[in-house]
Amino acid sequence: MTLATKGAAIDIRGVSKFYGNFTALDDVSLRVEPGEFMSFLGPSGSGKTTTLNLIAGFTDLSTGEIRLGERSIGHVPAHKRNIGVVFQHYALFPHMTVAANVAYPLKQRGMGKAERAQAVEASLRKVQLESFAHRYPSELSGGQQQRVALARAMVFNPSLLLMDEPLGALDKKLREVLQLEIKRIHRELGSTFVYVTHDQEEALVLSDRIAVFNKGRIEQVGTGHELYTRPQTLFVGQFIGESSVLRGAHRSAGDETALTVGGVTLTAPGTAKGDGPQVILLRPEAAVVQAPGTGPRDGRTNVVAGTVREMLYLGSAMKYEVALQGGAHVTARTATQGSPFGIGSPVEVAWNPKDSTLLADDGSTAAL
Amino acid sequence: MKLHLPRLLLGLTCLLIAIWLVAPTLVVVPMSFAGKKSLAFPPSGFSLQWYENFFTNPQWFGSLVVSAKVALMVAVAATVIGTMAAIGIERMQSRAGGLIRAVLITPMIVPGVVLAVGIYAVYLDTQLVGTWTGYVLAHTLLAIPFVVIAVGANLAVFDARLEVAAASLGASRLATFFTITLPLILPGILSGALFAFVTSFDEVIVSLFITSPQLKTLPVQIFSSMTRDADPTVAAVGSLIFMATSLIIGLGLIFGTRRRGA
Repeated sequence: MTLATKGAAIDIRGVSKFYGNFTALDDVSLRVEPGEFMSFLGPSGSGKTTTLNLIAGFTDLSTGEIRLGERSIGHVPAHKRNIGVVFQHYALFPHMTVAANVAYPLKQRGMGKAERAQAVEASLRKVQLESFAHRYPSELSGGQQQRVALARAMVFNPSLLLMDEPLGALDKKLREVLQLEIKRIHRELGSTFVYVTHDQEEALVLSDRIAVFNKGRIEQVGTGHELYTRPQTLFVGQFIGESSVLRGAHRSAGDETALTVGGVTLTAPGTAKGDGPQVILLRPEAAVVQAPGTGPRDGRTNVVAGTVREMLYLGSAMKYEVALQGGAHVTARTATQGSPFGIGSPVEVAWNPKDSTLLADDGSTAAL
Repeated sequence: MKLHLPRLLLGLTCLLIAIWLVAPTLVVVPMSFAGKKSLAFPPSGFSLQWYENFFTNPQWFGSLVVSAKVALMVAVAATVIGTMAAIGIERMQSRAGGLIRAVLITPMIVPGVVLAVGIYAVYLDTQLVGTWTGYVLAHTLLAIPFVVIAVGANLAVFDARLEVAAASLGASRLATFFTITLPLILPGILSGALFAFVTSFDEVIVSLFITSPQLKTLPVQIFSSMTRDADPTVAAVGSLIFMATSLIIGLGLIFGTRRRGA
């Protein structure tokens, strides 16, 4: 017996959600492809859970339209949407056994007893809990409870599965195990998955594409690689991965822009984004820490002098925190070679302009 | 010895308080076996005639039947109304919920006599004095607060997110109520129902006002019997009720602990 179904596309068109004067979601549009694993990533209060609740039907739409496959579901009651949901707090029914919990959605759909038992067993086998069928939720660990919740959400073959920070209450080790399991289940089911998380690593590991939410809007949608290497906003650049931000007066010339940071002129690819102030976003692995006086080398034409403020030995690499002249600071990660620079040593930080990104300064700070 | 004296005093105090609490109830038991028609303690002689009188005298046994029937109807009505009210209040977003709750609980706070006078005045006009409807209406009014409090306490610890989960699994609001909410708040509903039953069965003040010679509840019968003469049948009734309630509570404790152990 195979439970594999084809996933359905979700089309969110111009959706907003207001709570009185507060705008929780501001004219959001997004398409999730059939069978895709899409993560909604963002800090708390960014609108990602609101969007999930709107898709699930737990919250009423203020404006806009939501389509699941060919069907407009914006105003269909939650229990008629046929969407599986996994909650952070498990939400297992405490008065029912594991088997009864998983059978619940089938019972609501009027499935016969024999057929039901078979489907429940198959679903529990998928999460490797078939021997726990007669236990009560309170007798299971957090990880086991979340597996039961997963089995319950997929037992009725929904074309879409929503997960609201399902691993948020679990410890790191268990989270990693369950991430792999969720990935495997996604492959086996073929349903569309939408996964809400504030953990960028989790989003990168799991997703085909990620939608980054901030302040009720979507900042950028793309694969993890796209978001990391080509962030379109400073917020995305800082939210995904580590980065250093350099601020200064800018002047565009040709297809390059020069920023004056602490008296040093640095170049970045592309012309200024918008009319406002610009920043250079630099990834730690793009910057090289070198002895003072080394100067430009191998295309690394941006060179700034500074002082090592912090030094971390990571085994395969060294991580430096360098205070640049003029007050800015840069994080650099370089392969361990030769004797490392000690704290307080004068150094140079150098990088190829092509490895940095020019972005409009939207006031985002790394403190999240 | 120094350590033992305070412990001894504590034990003695507890014992005295226990006797003080239980003695009035226990005194009734020997009196119910009195040989003569007097309510003296300690009783003289021994007989079962007062028990016989209770079961054979239609005045007595009839009033027990009336009380039991009224209490049952009250338990059902108050439980249904009180449960619905408690759920409604719990789900209300606005602050009006607290106000409605306060209004629902007033019958518990207002002195019984005040309520009784009010009810009696209304009943005289509407000819409800001495009727089944009259008893059930008045007692339900008094019993609803107990249900609202018991169910409300249970709802406060009920995880409403389970209802959202049920909806996502395809259960309508009604199906969710019967399969998820109801089973999980059942302990509160049952204890509310028990309180409602006892409130009605035990009620004497309002009943005294709205009673009629044709339709009397047991407490009214006991009261009027006591004011007329010293009939030890009262003691027999007291002993029977004492036994019945002890039995119910005992069984409740046994089943309660067994369920928790499972």
